[in-house]
Amino acid sequence: MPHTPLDPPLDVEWRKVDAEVFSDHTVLHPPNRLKERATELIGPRGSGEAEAIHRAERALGVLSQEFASWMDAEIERLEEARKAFATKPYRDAADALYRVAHDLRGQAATLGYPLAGEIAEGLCVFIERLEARPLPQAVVDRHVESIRAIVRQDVRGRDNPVGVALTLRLAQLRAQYAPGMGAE
Amino acid sequence: MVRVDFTKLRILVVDDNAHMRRIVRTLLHGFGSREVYEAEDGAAGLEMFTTHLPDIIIVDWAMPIFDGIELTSMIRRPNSAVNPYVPIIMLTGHSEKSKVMRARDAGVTEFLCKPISAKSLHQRLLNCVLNPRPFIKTRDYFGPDRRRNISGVYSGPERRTSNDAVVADPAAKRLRDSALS
Repeated sequence: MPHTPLDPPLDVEWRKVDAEVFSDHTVLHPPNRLKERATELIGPRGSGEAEAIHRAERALGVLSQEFASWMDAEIERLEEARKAFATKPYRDAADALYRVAHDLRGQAATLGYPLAGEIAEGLCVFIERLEARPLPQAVVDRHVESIRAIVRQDVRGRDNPVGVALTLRLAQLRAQYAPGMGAE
Repeated sequence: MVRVDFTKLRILVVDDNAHMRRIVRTLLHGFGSREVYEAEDGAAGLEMFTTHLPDIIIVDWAMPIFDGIELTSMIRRPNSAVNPYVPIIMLTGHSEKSKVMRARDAGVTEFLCKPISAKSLHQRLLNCVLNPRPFIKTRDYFGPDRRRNISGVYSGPERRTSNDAVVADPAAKRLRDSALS
């Protein structure tokens, strides 16, 4: 959407900072130009905030019509990262796989698939705690396959007993490869 | 009551995931923001920070090239030619306490765990505008005061050995200028 640029940024104002100097630290009080520039007095408490939040939620609701296809695209990325790691199981491929799983961990719930996010989280934590140890391909495969199956079957949250059982099995698998890592 | 006018805020979103950028942009537009810039990795984010001079930065943690923590550290340099006090909101899938502490120690202003909601993002943005904390500069830290709550019962690690004298060095102005020039 075209828009008119805002006022020139206050790129020099931050230099005017009050400071309290102590022997081992300095406390700096930058002027709050944002508050001066971007606030206004309004009526009853809460009305402006609630309205802004409702507007944003409505906008997200409209956007949510695209979430199913976004989830498919994210799973495709995960599958590609899994294949790349299977072909060349090196650090770069593991890092790339972690980043994709981490994306899913963070946004699957927003896209409507919290259980898939939970499985992605299990994989992320597993990779983090392995540190320099080799990442078992079997663990990666089971997690990616489970996420694919859950989304394909439109399993959303913990109200689905099969989905919950699957997450428990995956936790046991992680514990099998690395004791103590399954029940996070 | 005070209302934040989001139309007057310039916001930079740094996230390598296009879907998440779209979600954040949608929420920001819902709040009223019109000037929202996007960068898809830390390097591009740093460049946009210096060219667009945003009022607030929303940054992801896990990104290629350099991540959100490294980007924050690069911005929080007291001698920087560009505003080192800019509010930084870390938006991440990490929720572990150790990660929150690491982000805080890098100089992050607010920490926001995914999944994101309109209410939680709005609250963090309001905090940045209405309740900014003072900055602390020590030998190994420059960023918002990590003691968020002002009270006499602080129980965290005691990093400050002196709190009693307001000005230990009479040449305060000189010190201040050297810290900020």
